[in-house]
Amino acid sequence: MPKRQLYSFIFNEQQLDPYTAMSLVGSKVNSIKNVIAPNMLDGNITEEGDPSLSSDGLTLNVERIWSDTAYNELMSVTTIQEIIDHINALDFVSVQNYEFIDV
Amino acid sequence: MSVNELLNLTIAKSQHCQRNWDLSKNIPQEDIDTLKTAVSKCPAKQNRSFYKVAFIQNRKLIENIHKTTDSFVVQWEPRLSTTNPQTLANLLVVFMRNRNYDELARTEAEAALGIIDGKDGSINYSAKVDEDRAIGIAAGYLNITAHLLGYKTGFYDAQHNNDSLCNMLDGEVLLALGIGFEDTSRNRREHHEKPYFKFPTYNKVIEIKDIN
Repeated sequence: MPKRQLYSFIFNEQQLDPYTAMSLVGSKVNSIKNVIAPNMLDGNITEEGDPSLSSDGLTLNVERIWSDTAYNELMSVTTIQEIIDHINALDFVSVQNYEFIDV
Repeated sequence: MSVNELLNLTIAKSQHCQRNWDLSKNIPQEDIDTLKTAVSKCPAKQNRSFYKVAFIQNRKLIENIHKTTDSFVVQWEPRLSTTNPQTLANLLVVFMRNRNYDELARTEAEAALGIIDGKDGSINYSAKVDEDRAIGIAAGYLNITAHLLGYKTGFYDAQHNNDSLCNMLDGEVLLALGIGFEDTSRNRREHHEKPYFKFPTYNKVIEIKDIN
């Protein structure tokens, strides 16, 4: 079953735009990055609306739809908790929410 | 809306790249002519010619050019990339190098090096700077003119597979700008051929200082 991915990250410093903020985190979490890039190119992960930053530039909100294939690939290399722990271990950002919901 | 408000809005919109197009429409010749005015009557150092411009509406050629643009990299290692669909616009304008070697020397470098070497950017760096600025100004004029006429645009730097582009167009290709009608049913960031893929978009901060 496809999954809706919802996540919110809180940054210590103001971010310039949503994609810079996403790249900043993604560049530090290889297990996610190496799954997301090819699957976005193949259409297995699609954005729902536009990612957004709060008006103070500190909170990033992203919503995506993952196909079964993409989700299963992610789960074969890591777990949701590992992703959350990895991001929370970074010194510039923390996870407010990170979840996958059945569509 | 005041003229200033309209200009502010149009200028702000003109910075963003359009990635998909409504190819069912045609750009009127009157608008094409105005766009040609934009690239030919804009400022250049000493009002000289640094470039020539191709206005391409031939779909076969546009599609062949687009095939060479596989340079939007989404992952560096291993390399994963997609094409730059701004080149699939209704109209593709391509800037190519063009120098008039019959001119008399008008710069110190041209006087010292001779007119041919003096205009060679690999020998005389300032000639390359002049060329880049001339094309930048012309492309800027073209871009804002297109937006004032109601079109969307997308720049392509034309450096990837540049040899192929040069062969296709029989010239030294330096820059391209897609101009056309947006597909109003789609997000501007959706790839023209792959609607499931949205290009990222970034903001920039330009420092502006008032000195009174």
